[in-house]
Amino acid sequence: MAQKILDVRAADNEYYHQDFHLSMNMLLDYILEKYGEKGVVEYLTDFTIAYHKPLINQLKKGEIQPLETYIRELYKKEKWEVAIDSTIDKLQFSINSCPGMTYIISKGLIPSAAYIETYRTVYKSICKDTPFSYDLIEFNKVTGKSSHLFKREE
Amino acid sequence: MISCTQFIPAYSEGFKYLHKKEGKQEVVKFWEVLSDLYLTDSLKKEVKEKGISGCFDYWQKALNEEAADFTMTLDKDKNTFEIMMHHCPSKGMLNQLTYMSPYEDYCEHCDLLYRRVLEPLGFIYTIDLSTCHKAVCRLVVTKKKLMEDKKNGRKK
Repeated sequence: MAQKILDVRAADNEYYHQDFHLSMNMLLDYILEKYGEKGVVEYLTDFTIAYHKPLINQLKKGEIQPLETYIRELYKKEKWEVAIDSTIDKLQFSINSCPGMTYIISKGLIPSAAYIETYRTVYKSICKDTPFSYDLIEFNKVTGKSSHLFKREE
Repeated sequence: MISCTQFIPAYSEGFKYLHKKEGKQEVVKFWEVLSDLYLTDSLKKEVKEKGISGCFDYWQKALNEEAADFTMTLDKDKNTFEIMMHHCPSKGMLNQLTYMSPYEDYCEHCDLLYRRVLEPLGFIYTIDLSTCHKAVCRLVVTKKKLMEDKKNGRKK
């Protein structure tokens, strides 16, 4: 047949385009090369303050539960296992590898040297001006295996 | 981590960051780099192997994974390919995030990224972004030779 038509509605598919991990990696590399680590931190801080505003506002109220919900949902969307240990004053989560870095490697590419900042800078910025602090406990730069601790400071 | 489901706002904020640093030309420069890196093994490869049918195969995968609302038409006889985007998931997501503002020229990346790949391969690439603020746009790819034949035919 000379003509081929595909008519698709949004509800027909799940929103899950893993190639976006590749574009994100390229954006990080571009900013790292052009503006250095400081530039990556500046960009990701801007992004976090803008995009995570609703979550930050909830944390400002002293509630840690929305953070747990956020982390669970994040890894559920990535179809990835995450171990979470939380109380009303702290939340620790660990992953055996990073879904984004794993996908990048599976495509024969190398995760950006700045990839760690998508954890460290993003989570530090989420906690800024809230009663909580963030510490990156462990991060494997090859696989993204990592452990993260949020705790109440007040 | 920034999930692939959060990429679009991160992308838009990336454009804003680059614009803040060195103006629009810096954003355009990044789009050129991204087009060369990201589309070489995907769209470019498909089109080099399959001709205009490669456009259909490339966007079929990408738009389904992005849960877009679209009608895509490939006419092999006329060597044309069209995407009528009824609701772009990327611009739609940015419109929904009312607490943050998208990069003002966000949709222009779709003009540059694909044009840069398709025109050197002998295609004419047009995109109508006049309604992109509503997450609606239309993209048409045509084999260059046919357009030139038509022009020559008219002259005769």
